[in-house]
Amino acid sequence: MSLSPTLLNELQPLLEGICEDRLSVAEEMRLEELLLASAEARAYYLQYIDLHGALHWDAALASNAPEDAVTALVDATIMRLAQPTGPLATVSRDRSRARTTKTWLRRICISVAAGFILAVGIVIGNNTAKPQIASHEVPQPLVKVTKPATEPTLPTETVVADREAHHKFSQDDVRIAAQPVTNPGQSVEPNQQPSAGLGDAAPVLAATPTTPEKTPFKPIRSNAGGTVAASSATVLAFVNEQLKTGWTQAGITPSPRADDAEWLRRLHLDLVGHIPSVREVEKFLADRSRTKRAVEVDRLLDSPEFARHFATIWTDLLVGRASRAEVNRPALATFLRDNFQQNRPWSEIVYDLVTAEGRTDKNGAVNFLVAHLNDGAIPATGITSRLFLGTQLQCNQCHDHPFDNSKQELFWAFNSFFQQAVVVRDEKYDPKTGRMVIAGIELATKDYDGPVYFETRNGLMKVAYPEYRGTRVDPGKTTSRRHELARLMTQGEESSLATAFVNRIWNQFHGRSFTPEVDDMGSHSPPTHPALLDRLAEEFVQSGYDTKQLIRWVCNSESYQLTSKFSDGNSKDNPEAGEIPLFSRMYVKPMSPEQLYDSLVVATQGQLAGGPTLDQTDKTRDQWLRQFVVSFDTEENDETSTLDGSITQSLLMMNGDLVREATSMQSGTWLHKLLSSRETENERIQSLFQSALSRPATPKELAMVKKLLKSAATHVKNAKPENAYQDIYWALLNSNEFILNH
Amino acid sequence: MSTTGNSTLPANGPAVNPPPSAEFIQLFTKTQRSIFLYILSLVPRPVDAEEILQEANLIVWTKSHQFQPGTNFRAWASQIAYYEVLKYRERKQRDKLHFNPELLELIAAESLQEAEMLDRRRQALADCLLKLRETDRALIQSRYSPDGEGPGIADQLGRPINSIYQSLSRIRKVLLECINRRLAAEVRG
Repeated sequence: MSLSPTLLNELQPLLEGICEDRLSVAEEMRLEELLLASAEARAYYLQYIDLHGALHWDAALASNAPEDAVTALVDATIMRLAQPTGPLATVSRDRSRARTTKTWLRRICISVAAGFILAVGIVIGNNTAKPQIASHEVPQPLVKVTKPATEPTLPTETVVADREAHHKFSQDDVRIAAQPVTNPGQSVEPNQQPSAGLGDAAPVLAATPTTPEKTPFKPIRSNAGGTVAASSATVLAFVNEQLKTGWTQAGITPSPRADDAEWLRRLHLDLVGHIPSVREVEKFLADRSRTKRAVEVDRLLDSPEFARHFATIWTDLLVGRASRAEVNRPALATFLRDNFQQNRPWSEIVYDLVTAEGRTDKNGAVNFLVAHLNDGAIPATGITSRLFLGTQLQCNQCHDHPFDNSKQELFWAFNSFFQQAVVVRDEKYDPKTGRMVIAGIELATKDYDGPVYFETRNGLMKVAYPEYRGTRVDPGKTTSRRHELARLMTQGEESSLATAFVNRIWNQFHGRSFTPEVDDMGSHSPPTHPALLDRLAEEFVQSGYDTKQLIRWVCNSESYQLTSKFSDGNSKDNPEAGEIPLFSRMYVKPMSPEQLYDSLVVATQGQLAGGPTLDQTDKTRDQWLRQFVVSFDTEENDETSTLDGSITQSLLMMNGDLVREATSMQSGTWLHKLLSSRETENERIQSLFQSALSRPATPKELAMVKKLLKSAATHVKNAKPENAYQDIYWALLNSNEFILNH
Repeated sequence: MSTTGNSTLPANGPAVNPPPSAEFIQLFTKTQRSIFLYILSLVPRPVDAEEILQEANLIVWTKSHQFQPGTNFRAWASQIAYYEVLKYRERKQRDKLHFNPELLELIAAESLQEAEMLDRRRQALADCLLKLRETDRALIQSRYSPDGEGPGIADQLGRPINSIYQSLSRIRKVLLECINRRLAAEVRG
């Protein structure tokens, strides 16, 4: 009995939907269709529902001997039924009457059973007064308030009070009875692993690969070097399967594969932050190997430019482009670059960022919090949650969330974790000027215990203690709150840290995340591909938060190989028009200002003209960028860039210094060199295209450009032939094809 | 087919029937869980299944004299339960999740066919539950405790509801796989 992976992947979420009673009508119909079509699907359905039902049934009964419990019930039933005026006489005649009768009968059963239970409890329950749940019940470490499921000494009352709420006559009452009867020795110590009689279970446990014991804190680094390990192939297959399922369900066919030039340009922009050089394009197009795409992904991941690009992205995310004077941006960028270069686990990087201490110039990691500890660490609270956990808490600062059930307390409980962090200005007396000057900025820890105070909407003052997702942390002085927070964030198998990062990486490479907003995940915004997101997150955790491995999965996925052009079969897949993304084509991404800058440098081989090489551009680039960034004095330390594909950007590209320099004909520039070479007209045009668009010109384009060159030569007075090339190059750099990542 | 259930109902009420025998009670007791699970496979909501089970129980009880000792009690009771399912569906026509009649019949037949295998699976489940990680076990148990719905747990644990659903889904998968392995091991051993 084997179920195809495709079918299984579709079926399983539907069956989950049944178990959690949240299937939509469409899903229900789909399930019915699948079940009708395949006996294997029905067999799987039976097993799944049986598991669900058995759990449901047994949760109430002590699983070892449900019969005893039922017997009690039956006894009670018999007692009632044996009486001549038994209520069942009416059952078959009068339905409405029967219903009331049944309710009545149930009550009788319940109270009789309860009486029976009480008796049993008195006789047997000498050592276990607690009518707790089943023998395998374990206390939940994450539960805020742990209260016993039922009041220990009052089973009868509990049952009576519950009888209307649940129609589980066979369960609520019986549960209590069965427990002391069958598990006199086990019930008090819920953590205890039953030992006797289950000895044969051990080998199976050892062989369970799905539940490995993990070291939650500081995950082990995996061997990131390997290209595609066996398990990686499985993950990739799963990813592709999930994507295909989405396409099938939506009834669309994906766009064809992108050609190599389109794909290579995209990959370079995504992985190293700029377009490929002409030589790289030529080499890649000439490569006939079937695995060349995967090889190129690995090559770029190993290049220092990958680390540089990711450091740029995360520096922007962590402290913004125009961060405050106290923040040492370059030091943070260096910290990130080193970490990405070494492929340090993401969880460790985050751990460092959250817990860092020291001077902003000595320990780059401190700059993240130094940038956000203002205003009672309110910005730090919002951004830590948003960036690393994909949870928007900032609204909760002032009020409960209107859509999901997150409360205002959440924000302040999270905020509490930052209360021991303080920015210290190391001021020194300068004898020359006679003033105090700042010699250094330090992120330090101060003594702080107790709660933070906040005001609710109705003016009530409340307190919040450090608490992360239900886990409270000792608010005392001896606790290092940031370390506790970092530990809680980075531990465990299912982590929001991983899910949020996967969503972000997917977004970065595909132009869309699984949720409408990349950093706003939660019950109010269900992901488009939940199974895919979950699995990637799970595998990411298993891999030890191996960033490069995650990127390999994403870059080798089928969706990443597709062209950005619509095909006939997928015009529906248009997130811009508000449709949910199905990743049946590559969505067009705007270039970030940094990508634009670096790409211009690469296109024009800026270093030829004595300009900086890419390695040296960081500083010039940042200066250049600063003119476009406007920061707001908000509580989230918001900022905006005018270089966002708007008119400002267009004007800048058309008239700005950067493009003017790029198309300059001064001696030593790339264009000058090209036009003074002995190349033919065709070769020159091809070089312009390769340089700007990372692809050769099509025959049609070639013909058109030639026509333009000719008409310029005849129509423009005193025209130098170079000027026409210059204009064409300018036009190419201003084309959508250049300024977009597609 | 669906009418026979009603026609065999005792017209005079149970007063004339002898009380069920001890053997009957034993069988009745022993099969409660299987009957419940059988019903659940046809109306996949536990609340509904429980209600149907109660109704079926009443019928089984009142018809106890019709049961011939030595025959398959479970098949007999399942048949009654099946009619109760049909009746229930008629009553609640507009409710969610109504398998079409053809599918219902298929599942009902296959569920009975596989009864023995399902029994063995249920036995394996107990062991598999013990093998879960503690946090997983705690989660699945709070899910299946009375009132243990996803949102409540999410609230209680302070975790997003989706993550609860994800965890539950993962745990169920783990359990299914564990059960499959155990059954496979039984066959080998």
